Amino acid sequence: MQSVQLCAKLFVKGVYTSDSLYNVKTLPKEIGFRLAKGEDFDKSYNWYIVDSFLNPDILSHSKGHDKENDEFLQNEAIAFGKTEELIHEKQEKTKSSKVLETSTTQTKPPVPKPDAKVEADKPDSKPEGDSKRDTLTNRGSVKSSLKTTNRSASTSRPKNKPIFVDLPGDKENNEPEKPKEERPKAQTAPIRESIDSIEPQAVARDTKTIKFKSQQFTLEPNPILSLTHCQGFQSKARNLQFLDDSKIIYSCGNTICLMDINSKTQRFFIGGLQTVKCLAVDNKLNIMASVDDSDVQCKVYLWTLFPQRLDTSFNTGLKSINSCDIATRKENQRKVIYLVVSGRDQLNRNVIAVYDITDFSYKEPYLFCKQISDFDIRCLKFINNRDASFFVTCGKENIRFWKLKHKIITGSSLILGEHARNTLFNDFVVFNYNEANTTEELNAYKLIFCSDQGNVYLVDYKEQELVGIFKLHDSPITTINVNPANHYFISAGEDKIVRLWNMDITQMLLEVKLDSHVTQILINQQDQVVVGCINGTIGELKLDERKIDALVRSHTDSIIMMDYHPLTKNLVTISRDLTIKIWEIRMGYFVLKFEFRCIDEQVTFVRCLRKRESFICGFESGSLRVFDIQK
Amino acid sequence: MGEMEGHKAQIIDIEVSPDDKYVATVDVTGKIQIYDQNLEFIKELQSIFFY
Repeated sequence: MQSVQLCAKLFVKGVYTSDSLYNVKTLPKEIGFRLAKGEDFDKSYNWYIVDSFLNPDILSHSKGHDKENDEFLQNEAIAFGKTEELIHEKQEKTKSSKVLETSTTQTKPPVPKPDAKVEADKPDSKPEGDSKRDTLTNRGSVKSSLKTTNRSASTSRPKNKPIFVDLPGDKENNEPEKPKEERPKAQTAPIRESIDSIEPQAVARDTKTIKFKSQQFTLEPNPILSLTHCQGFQSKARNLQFLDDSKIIYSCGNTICLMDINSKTQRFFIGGLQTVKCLAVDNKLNIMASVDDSDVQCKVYLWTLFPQRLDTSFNTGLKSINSCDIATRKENQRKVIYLVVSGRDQLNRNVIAVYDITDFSYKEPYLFCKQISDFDIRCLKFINNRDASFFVTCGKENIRFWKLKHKIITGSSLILGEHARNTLFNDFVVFNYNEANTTEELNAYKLIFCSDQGNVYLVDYKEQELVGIFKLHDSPITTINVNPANHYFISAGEDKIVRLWNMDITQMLLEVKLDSHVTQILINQQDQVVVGCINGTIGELKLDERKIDALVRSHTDSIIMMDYHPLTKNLVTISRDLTIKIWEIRMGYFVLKFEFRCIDEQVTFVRCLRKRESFICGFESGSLRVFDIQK
Repeated sequence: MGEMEGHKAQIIDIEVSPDDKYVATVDVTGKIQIYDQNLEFIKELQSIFFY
């Protein structure tokens, strides 16, 4: 090893690693310690032992080696911090060994014992001749380990559990030689399930060299559990997006779900800590930004779409974030990616912050520029996501056009006149008015804003002037969207009505009444319309059938309890939203079968009967009700 | 389908025997009620433990 970098400017040289276990005398010349003639090793150097090396196996297998080896192992134990125990045992055993020496010279055959310390401290019973072959003896060097109790290692010792294979000569003189097949099984590789299998294995080919094998431990099946379906949707500011023509991406709590609307298979982005408020997705850049729904400190998470991976996250320092968007810009022949967020800072001021998130997977995003706005911002979008220079915001009593040049954000307001007063602009859509839809020049863009007074405002971006105002709903319009071919646009209001209009806003083409008001509308290239509702439903709006095909349904409040009905294979859930819902579990997803609304009181407990197709619910008032699933 | 006699306080647990013969319900005061397979009231017990 040439060197080890401990920190930014600190390198350590002269580090050697080896799979072999050496002592001072068996060290190769290349890594040996220099000693002058007559110089004592102990006075010049210290020999430290890695504590993990000292383990019962070494000691148990070492029984029967020569005296020096025992001494070496004892010293290791002492260095390991077991000084007192070992010294005490040593004293006792040396006394007993002296008695034995005088009485008899016959040694006992080795009996393997689990306790390593006891094995290490046994009186030396082997003939001295055997010690010559044992290279684990440490001789002079072992004394040095007594000098210190420091556990750090200057020599690299493996943390493995070595297993020594005894050579035939290592056996006791009076023990008959056994064939190789009859060797103890403890010396073979350990069973996989044992703790040893987690740690790297050590196999000794001979007593001089110990080779270590690392065995990777995995739990099987791997993964043991995997999330296949997540049921639920929490309608927030802008947390439902089309990824491509067949995939939608939305958030459910702190989980972001990527769902194929045809097969209903899901993939997940897990890693965020708080409920996701808004998402900004760019499929071409393979990037997604998600923003926390926080009232204290908002955090932005940056994800890679394929494969699903959280790359980085950073604190914005803002108290809340209302909207975000991603766009690119070419600067000095290099593509720069910007993330723009709008929200409120700790002083409750409206703020626009632009972050440079180029190469975010390996480079930290940084605050490119920031602008405090005197105008309320509810929604922010780039005019063109391939030109990060221009974006538009809307909010209470204002519509503003912004320009990002170098590190300066400048803005100008649309003149609304009397239409601005008490008007809250909820959402807007940018569309290219050029019918061929080929040019991306700014001149070709128009915008439609929707307000809480049920009006839509048609704005020409080139002239930056209000072209027309149209009253489309009797209640506030929450969202609006234009189909990609610019043939129609859809507005949705709090009156739970979705209306489809021609682009001249002269004719209403369609009207659909829903059971909840729509907060987000998406239209893909194939004219599939997906809506997100405030009651937690995501559905595909079938314009010809004038109905909604639910993709995701959910409770609107926390789920108190659920129980599985084994007979009907349904799942019954009760929620704080005063509803009981019965879900049919199909191939990996849930279909809402029934819904009971208990307006009068809160249901507190549910239990399914096993033999009958019914379940019992307990209520806050103490009443019990039995529900029949089939009826 | 039907409403059982019920408790006077909030239900905190309902358990059903494996063969659906008996249903036991518990409220926050520790009162236990036992019903038969036709969900007819059988017995009421007062537990010393309560929620």
